[in-house]
Amino acid sequence: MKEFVRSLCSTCIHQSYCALSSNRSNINLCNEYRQYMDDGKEPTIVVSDEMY
Amino acid sequence: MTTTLTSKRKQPKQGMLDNVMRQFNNAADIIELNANIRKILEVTNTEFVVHFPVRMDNGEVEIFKGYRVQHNNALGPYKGGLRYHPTVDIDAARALAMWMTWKTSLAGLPYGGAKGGIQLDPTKYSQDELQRITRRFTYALGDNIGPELDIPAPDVNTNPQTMAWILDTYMSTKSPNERSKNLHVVTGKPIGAGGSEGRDRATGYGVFLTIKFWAEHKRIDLKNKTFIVQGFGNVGYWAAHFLKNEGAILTAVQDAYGSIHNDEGISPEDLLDYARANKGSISGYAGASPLDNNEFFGLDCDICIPAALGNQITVDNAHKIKASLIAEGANGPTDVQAEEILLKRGIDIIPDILCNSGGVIGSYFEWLQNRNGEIWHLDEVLEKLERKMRESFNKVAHKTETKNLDMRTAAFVIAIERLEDTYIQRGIFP
Repeated sequence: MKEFVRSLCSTCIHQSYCALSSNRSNINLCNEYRQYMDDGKEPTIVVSDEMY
Repeated sequence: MTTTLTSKRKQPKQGMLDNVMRQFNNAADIIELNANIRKILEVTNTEFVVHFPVRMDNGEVEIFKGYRVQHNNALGPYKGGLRYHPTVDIDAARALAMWMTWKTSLAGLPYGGAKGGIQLDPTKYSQDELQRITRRFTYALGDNIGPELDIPAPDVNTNPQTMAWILDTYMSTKSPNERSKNLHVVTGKPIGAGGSEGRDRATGYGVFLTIKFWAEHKRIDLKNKTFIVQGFGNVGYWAAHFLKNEGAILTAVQDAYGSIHNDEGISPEDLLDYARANKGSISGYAGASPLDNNEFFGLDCDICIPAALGNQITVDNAHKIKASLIAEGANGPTDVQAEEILLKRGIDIIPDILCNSGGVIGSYFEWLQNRNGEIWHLDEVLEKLERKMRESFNKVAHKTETKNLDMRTAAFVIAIERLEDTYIQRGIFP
């Protein structure tokens, strides 16, 4: 798990081009965060909604 | 055994926990919080770490590690999300559980705070595997969650479907005549499985409401006021939609793909339609021009809504901000030093703990409907949300003025005072 540091950016589909932040090593919450399954089917709705 | 959350040995990897503890200690010092109650709130009540086996699609068995941290339940059942992510660990769960305690307390809800999840990368598993993982995790937690004990909700990589699986598994462990009494064991469910109308827009609507209340308080008319939004997800879009309906003008948007601006105004609905047809991206939208990302926060506007992620307003851009209000739709978008600069410059900040609390209030309404066997109409949900948020906002505004505090500190003070009152009234057993 060391490679993931403490950021959820590592598994976000926007990671390579994301315009929101250059400091991604410590991001735990992001409302733009999205992640798709490998098989390319439906997204696993993956908006980080920390509001519940 | 309790674990003190401020353990020095663990400091290097506890950024988030440090932050939450700093905010707590700051507010606790201001109200001179009873030393014994401070001791209680500094630690979590209960921490579960469960290991459970799940059979994968290829027939192999994999062992997963799941967490549930219950910080405090003085005000009511524990409440907080479950996330599926490689970074989930006990420290993150502790920090977020504590954060939930303050949030539910400030919102005036009968809830405590909890958080949890499973340490995994969901892209590596099929939907069927995720379903089995979720169900087995629910079974492992057993009666340590429950509709009147601890109520999970969606978070990173969990969604209404995940909640429906948890509900179904939890109900299956009960005797047949008890099953339907347990619909409120989770919130954020699909509408067909007991979810509430309006849950999708609750957070964004709450952000809009706090801005509206702030404007009323300052005797400012929102009509023709300009605003910019960072993040065009569920929170950013709905906040922009309701603000536009009030006559305000959306002049710039930034998301993961880039930034756009148009001083004449951008239609949130048109932009959402465009983004949906464009793989979620706002870039290339014909109704606005592209903008350099670094210029976004320096744009001329009246209201700035960071609704994407943390640490966006920093010492590097705080002095450039021209807005007179920052409404924190995201969690922790303004860092500590930036906040000092902004407050010195007379810029108001509606703190995240208040600004984005519409979501947890929406969850509370879902829980209430399930508990009482009711189904509310969307208008009813939004009306009740407005009433609840107005109460919270007024309390914070009053505390800000009477105690001469900034809104964030005032919000924390209110949240902690409510817990202090509860402990003083109830005493400590035995």
